[in-house]
Amino acid sequence: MAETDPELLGRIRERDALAFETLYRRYAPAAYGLALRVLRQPLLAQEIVQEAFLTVWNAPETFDPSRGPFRSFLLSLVHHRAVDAVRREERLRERERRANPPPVPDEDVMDVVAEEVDLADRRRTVREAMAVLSPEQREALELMYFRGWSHARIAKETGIPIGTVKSRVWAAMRRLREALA
Amino acid sequence: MTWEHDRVDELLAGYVLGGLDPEDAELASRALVEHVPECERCRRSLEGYRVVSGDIALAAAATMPPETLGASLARATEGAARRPRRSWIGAAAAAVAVLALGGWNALLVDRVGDAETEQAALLGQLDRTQTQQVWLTDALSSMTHPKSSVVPLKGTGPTRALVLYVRGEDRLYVIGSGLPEPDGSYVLWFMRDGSAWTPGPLQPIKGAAIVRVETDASDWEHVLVTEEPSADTPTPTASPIVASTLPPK
Repeated sequence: MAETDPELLGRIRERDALAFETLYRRYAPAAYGLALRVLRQPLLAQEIVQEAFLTVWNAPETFDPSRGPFRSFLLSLVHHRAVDAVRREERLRERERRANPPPVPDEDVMDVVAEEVDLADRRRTVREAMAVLSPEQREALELMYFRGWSHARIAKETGIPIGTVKSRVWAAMRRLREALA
Repeated sequence: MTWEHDRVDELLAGYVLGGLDPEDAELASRALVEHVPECERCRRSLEGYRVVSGDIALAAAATMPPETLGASLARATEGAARRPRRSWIGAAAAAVAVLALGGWNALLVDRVGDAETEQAALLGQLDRTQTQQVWLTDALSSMTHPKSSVVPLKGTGPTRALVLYVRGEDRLYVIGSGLPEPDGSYVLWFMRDGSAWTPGPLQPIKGAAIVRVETDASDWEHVLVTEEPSADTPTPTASPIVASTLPPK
């Protein structure tokens, strides 16, 4: 039976490189897929994922299993860093990005990575929960989460009043919180 | 300030997504200091949103990273295993870092865009960001831990602060908001038997700051923040801006 995340992290605290490699193989596709979706730049996405995993290696004690799943901790870490990076990149290279947009991964592409059963099940649950959101709620949420846009940016780019944007994001999060509890 | 649950809930949802604009971000940071630690409903809400913010990632297609990434990590971890580990044990060896709550994403972007920022300073800022991310996530998690304790620090001015820790653990967070721009330096102090120890200065950004200190809260009697002429002051010389007694073991 596969070791659990807390078990692997316990070994990582003892500087077990094999345990770290196992954890990496378990979550790297999800982490990299997320970073790629947000950043749309493979090299930068790799950098973000590397930094996130190195954080886990260098400070495994910051994660406590009693506070929630490691999956959430790691993917939130990647997401935050990816959003920071995309905003930083946009400020530095706004013109270049508009002139030469990088290829965007197709959101509808099938996953070609074989994942462990638990993670695959959770992925299915999340996608089912996202599918139940209204199109407007899903759009607002995805623009915030995968583009790194703030409420004001979404309102500006879509022409939707900012109050409506806030309501849609909040409604989407409430529904997902209920569905994924 | 009176906090309405729905308003706080809306702020928390945007906060965990990193999508709040600066004004809302500052409000969220105040809510995290002034309201959430003492509100079971909002703490549960925050915990639920935190899980969601990680799970939404699974809506993106899983993509195998290049082999070079795994190889690079393997090299890095081999090297790290041979290097001495940074000590986290004991008050004397405590490591301290400072980050700003609420709107800090926008603040960091502002700093990056500052024409006067040199590349070395930029790299230093980015290096702090990595640690800040982990500690911010950990601080949020601490608020929902069943053994979490929150000790508000009291003062007479606009500053609000609290000490947040999980009982039995050797680390705590001091979180503050409403800190006016100091003439000197804000310094954090822990006191026991009349003796003071400082893990270092508080460096707020737009009035907000969070410090992680590697120490057991139950080892101390009092915690306070003063404004000193210099961050190197060995003992507090000014009246506390905020202060509190810490619960004994």
